[in-house]
Amino acid sequence: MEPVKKTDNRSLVRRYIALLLAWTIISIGCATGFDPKPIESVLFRDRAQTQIEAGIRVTAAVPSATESRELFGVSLYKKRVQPVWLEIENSTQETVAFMPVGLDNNYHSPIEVASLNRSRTARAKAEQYFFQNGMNLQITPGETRSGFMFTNLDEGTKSFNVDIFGEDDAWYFTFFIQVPGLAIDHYEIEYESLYDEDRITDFDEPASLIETLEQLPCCTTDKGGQNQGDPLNLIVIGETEDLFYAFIRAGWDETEVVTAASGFKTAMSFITGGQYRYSPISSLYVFDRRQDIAMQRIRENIHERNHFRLWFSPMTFQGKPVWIGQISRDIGVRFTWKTVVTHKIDPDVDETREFLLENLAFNQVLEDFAYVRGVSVAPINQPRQNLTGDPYYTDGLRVVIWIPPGTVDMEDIGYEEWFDPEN
Amino acid sequence: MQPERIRIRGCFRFYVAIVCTFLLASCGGRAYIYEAIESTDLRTRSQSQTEETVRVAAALPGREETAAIFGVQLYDKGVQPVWLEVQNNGPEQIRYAPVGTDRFYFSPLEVAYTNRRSFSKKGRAEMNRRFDELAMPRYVDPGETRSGFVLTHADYGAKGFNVELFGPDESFSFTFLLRVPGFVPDYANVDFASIYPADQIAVHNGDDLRQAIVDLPCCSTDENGAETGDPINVVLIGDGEELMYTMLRGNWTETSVAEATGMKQQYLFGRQQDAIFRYQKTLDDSFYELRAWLAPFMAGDEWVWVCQVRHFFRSALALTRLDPDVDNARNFTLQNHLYAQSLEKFAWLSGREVVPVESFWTNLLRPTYFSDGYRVVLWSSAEPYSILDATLLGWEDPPGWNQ
Repeated sequence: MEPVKKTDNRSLVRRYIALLLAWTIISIGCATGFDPKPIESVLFRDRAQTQIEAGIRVTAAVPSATESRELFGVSLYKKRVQPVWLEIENSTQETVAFMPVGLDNNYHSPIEVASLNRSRTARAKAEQYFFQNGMNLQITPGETRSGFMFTNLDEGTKSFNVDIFGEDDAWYFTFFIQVPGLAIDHYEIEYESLYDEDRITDFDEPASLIETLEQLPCCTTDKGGQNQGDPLNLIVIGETEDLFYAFIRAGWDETEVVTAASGFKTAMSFITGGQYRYSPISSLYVFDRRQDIAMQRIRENIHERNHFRLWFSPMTFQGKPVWIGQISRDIGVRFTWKTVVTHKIDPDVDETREFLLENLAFNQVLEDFAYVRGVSVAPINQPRQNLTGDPYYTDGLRVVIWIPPGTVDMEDIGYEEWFDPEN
Repeated sequence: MQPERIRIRGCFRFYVAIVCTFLLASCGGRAYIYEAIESTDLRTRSQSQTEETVRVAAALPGREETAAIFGVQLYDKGVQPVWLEVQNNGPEQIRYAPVGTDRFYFSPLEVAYTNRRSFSKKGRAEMNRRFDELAMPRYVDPGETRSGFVLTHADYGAKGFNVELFGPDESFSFTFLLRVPGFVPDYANVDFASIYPADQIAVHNGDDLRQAIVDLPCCSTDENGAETGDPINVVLIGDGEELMYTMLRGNWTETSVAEATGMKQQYLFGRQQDAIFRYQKTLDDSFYELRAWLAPFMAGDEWVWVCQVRHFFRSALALTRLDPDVDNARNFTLQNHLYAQSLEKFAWLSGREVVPVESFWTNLLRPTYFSDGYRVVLWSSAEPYSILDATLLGWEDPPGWNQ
């Protein structure tokens, strides 16, 4: 009996020592928690933009994922939190207030973000630090205030408003700031060099443009150009910068070029059903090349997104570039022989086309619209199929969308009677 | 012999069972069954509004009605159909835009697709046809009346939504507030008229009103009225219906006490709150919570609601934690009302209970929150009120707001 008991005791002691050691290591590991760098040593403000309007100056900058980690000692981007640095100078005679809700109506409070720190001691330090670096709402005459707002993450281009109110005045600023870190597909394309200048046709009269638009191919193809994919149901007329402004304002996200890392992010969001808002979109072909721009608007998760692809065409209308494109709504994921996993599209592709039109109208970035033929009709009982074998049906029309520079009130949207969709 | 025979019989049964299962699986499940929309009283109980030449009626089917009409239980998947009828008596065709009702509305075939499992091939085809047929059409010609459903994200209390219609040179906008059949929020059980005896309700105006608000208790209490709870930081002025509209327009949802269990109880005027609203943030599980008590006095002929607004977030240990910066929740509520165009005028009052932020992190016995002690008074307006027209009354200067 005796010796057995002895070994029992000894092993117990060993176990306790091991436990104690493990505990110490864990708590030391946690305690190293919070170590932010001073704001001057992180150079994100080199990308700052400034706007001035009637006595109010706003300067804004957005740190990238790495810079945010340096600034706040926590990987904020991983938690889908994006700090926005603001500096507001009030040269007016009255006290003005800055409204965070106008920038992001689901903004995070500094203490909420600080609580992402796991260690207790680090957390208290972090709370204080985040709170002190928060943006003050009120700016008295002659004063300059700066600080951070903690917003929800937008990679690629961050677009936001800074709304400031005085007693009887209001100042509205809109910023578009590119944030480094994503390989956005359209950044890589030089639109000007896609075509030789003498190959670009400018149309002045609608009649000749309509005729040409109706003769464009009905559908996208695969790389070899052998098989037909989704219908080209979208024509967009507008300058490149205006297009991005409009689509980002209407809630569309840019997409990442397909790379190993982006493939991994998509796969993770597929498994977890989470949101990876910049997931790449597969390539379809028109004019012998893959899309020039792809954008998407996530709804609940990656299985549910609307996306469109655009190609810069060798045409301009009254001096403005003409883009041809395709829009569809992903409604789920299914398995295929060709690509293993693919998105299933809503067979009613016209519904998604009309959605885009209304989405742009409600966000005040639609100037004018019209319809032309060119896709050819596919009735509901005789659907056609895209490249992955999904059926779709359509009235055969393309919607023509004019994007304005800036905004247009809903009452002022024009309609061109090129083709009446009801007949 | 006997046992051997039994074994063979058992085996045989097993095989038959497998073959049957296989057959059932391959002919693919059940048929698609639904009931005609006329089996419900949606049309008769609908609310109707008219603007110039356009009339719009709207109704919400409850859980069971939805299951009957669509043949599947949509509420379980977070989808809520809204029934609309549009009558166009004008000379021009008008267009209905579903994004006006729900920015992220579902397309009919998308919802059919996500519910396709367990139906046979024939059943699925019928379901697609049915969903397509039930959809609210986009165009309504002159003299025509058309109806159908738009599929929205589900609200479980009351649902506030817009119906936007466009003609060539005109647009029509309607706002509806409908109760979802089957949901009973707390305040529906509260008989507001009987909370205070009529002769005990004081009526205040101007400076009296200001003093009455200053005199309100600083904080809520526990059941015995002893322990000091969290601050009373917002006062809303408006009648019940008006309050409902403004909260819904600001994307707050009605909450029942059942949902708020796990939260510490808060007492004021010797009772728990009369209503709770929540504002759920979209991308994480943090939320703002507003608890309202009807005050024993009125502001002229309008009711006064004494409120406590707080912000909660999920902390590292997956527990809900009170954001100690309670002033942030108050400031959010003001901005939320401004942006929802629900604010006619507002005023600030400094309160009695200041918990200084300077000592918050250094204090050994750390309090649960810090606050500048200010209270904001909001006069809500059911009619949209432009953010630029909201007036700040000169009661006291606003606090030097931090977030």
